[in-house]
Amino acid sequence: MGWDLKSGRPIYFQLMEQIELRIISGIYPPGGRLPSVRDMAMDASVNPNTMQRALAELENEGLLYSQRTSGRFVTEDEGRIMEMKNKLAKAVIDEFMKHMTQLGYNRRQTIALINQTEEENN
Amino acid sequence: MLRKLLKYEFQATGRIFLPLYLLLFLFTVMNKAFLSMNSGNIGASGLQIPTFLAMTAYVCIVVAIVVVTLVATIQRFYKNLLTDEGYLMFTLPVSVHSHIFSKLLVASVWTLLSTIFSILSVFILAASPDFMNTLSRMIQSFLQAFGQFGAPMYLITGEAVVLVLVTLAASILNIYVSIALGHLVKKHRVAGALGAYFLIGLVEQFLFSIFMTAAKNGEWFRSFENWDHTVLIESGLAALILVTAALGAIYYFGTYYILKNKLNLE
Amino acid sequence: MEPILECRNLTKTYPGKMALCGVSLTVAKGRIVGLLGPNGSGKSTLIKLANGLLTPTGGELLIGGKAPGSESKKIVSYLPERTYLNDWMTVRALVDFFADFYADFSKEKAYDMLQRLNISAGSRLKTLSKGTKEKVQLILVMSREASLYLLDEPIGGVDPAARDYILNTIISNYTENASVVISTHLISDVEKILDDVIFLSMGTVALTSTVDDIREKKNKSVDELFREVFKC
Repeated sequence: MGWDLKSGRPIYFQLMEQIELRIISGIYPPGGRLPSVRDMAMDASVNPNTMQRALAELENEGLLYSQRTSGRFVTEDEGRIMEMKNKLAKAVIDEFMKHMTQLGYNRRQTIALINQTEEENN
Repeated sequence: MLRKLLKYEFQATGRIFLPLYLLLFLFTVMNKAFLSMNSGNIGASGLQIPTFLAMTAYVCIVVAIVVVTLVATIQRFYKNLLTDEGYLMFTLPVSVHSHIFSKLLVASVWTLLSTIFSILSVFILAASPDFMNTLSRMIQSFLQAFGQFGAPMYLITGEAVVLVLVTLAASILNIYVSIALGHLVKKHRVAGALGAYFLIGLVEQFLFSIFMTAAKNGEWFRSFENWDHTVLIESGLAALILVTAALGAIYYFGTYYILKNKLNLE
Repeated sequence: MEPILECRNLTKTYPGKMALCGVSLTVAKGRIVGLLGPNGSGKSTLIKLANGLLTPTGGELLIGGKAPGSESKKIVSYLPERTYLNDWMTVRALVDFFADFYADFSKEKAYDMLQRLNISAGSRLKTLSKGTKEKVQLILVMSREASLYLLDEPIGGVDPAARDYILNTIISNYTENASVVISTHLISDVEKILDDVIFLSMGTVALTSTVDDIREKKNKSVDELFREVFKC
């Protein structure tokens, strides 16, 4: 999974999202240890201070915790991770619904279209 | 730090000079061989062409050494400090004094070596029983003079050596300050350097002629005629040393000031 | 904490030209700073002043609290825009040269990087391509543990892969005690690794900010803001 960083939004913010995706997808599994800040910064080709900020923010939100000598870890609290997953999913849905509304579909029509598309694909 | 600069300076220049000196040695030996084969009579052994070639090669090498010594003195200073390489040299944690002094020292050493080796090589070629006789007679009369005059001869010889060295340093510094002055003229650095060199030469000439006029017309100069000759020579040499050293110092600090405060690498 | 680089009303004039006019700025330790501006804005002049290659006409420039001199050169590592190494020297000789003059130079680091780029230590600089020469220079500069790295257009004229390598080398060298000032006009490539940016325009500071601030408050990338500020 590459690091997809766009312009216009703060880099640390985008890094937070990308790390969250990696937690969800299992690249950084619950309870797992994260690479060092420097390694992660190199991997993403970003400033280590920026990566540090992203990680600190995620710690504040409870998704990560650090143990002074052993490093940073992903939380084992599955509930918390689920919460994050839902938040991201909701954001995708909101964005999707906005697009659909622009195209002229209301909620009921959108759901019907989704089901129809699913059937056609199977 | 200075020692390190000297090391690199010698490395950079040695790769030019040492091969030349080696060639000088080889050609000297070669010519010596040819000379002895012909025993002074070119063509006696039928080796005219090789002898001629060897002699030409020898002359070329001697000329090359003279030219290269001068060019290297100029080039090392200009190229290493005032072109792209200057970006490297002037960001090293060494003082400007070290830069100037290391180049000066190395240039002096090569100039001395070039001179000594060239003279030696001529001696070797010229060496023959007659020549050795004349030479030993010269040395003998020189030593006699020592005996006659005693201690002052040591002083005078010492002064002469010092004068040679000081003049050597001052002339090299003369070149450096000219190059440095040329550096100030942004678009015409080479012309500026040449101009500065000639200008300085003119000023030196001018001061010298003032001195000579004062000497001719001044009463104070005549008083010297009453001095003891030995003391006269000693003081004269001492005065020359002081004047040359003063000029050298002026050139040195001029160079230092420009490199420290007016450096402007492109 | 004392800034590693500070300019106080710094001015540099030449006959008929004012390169820098009243520039005041600070660079704190542990920051990667972009010095951005169009050609002729004074970036190179500022960097040369920080290196002691030029002397200020007015104001002052301080490295770790002191004016540039032999002491500051021990802690400043400079990568100029041009190739400034002796062509006839071998790579190995150059590594030895740097090790000789700079106490903070690490030979292991240098040879490690050279090996990873497949550059043979025995080659003469003259025989290398322009891109490889520039990589050698970068390796020599980054193999030092300096307090301030001044990189003048480090990625201009290099292919994209080399560009990535250079930027990654800068990141991997990062420590909280050292700062890096990158002068460039290739902003979009460099933006992600910068903490702060300084915009220079015609010898004066047009803007200073963190990259995050620009993105958060102006909703633009630094590259986009630059194009706006310096529209022709």
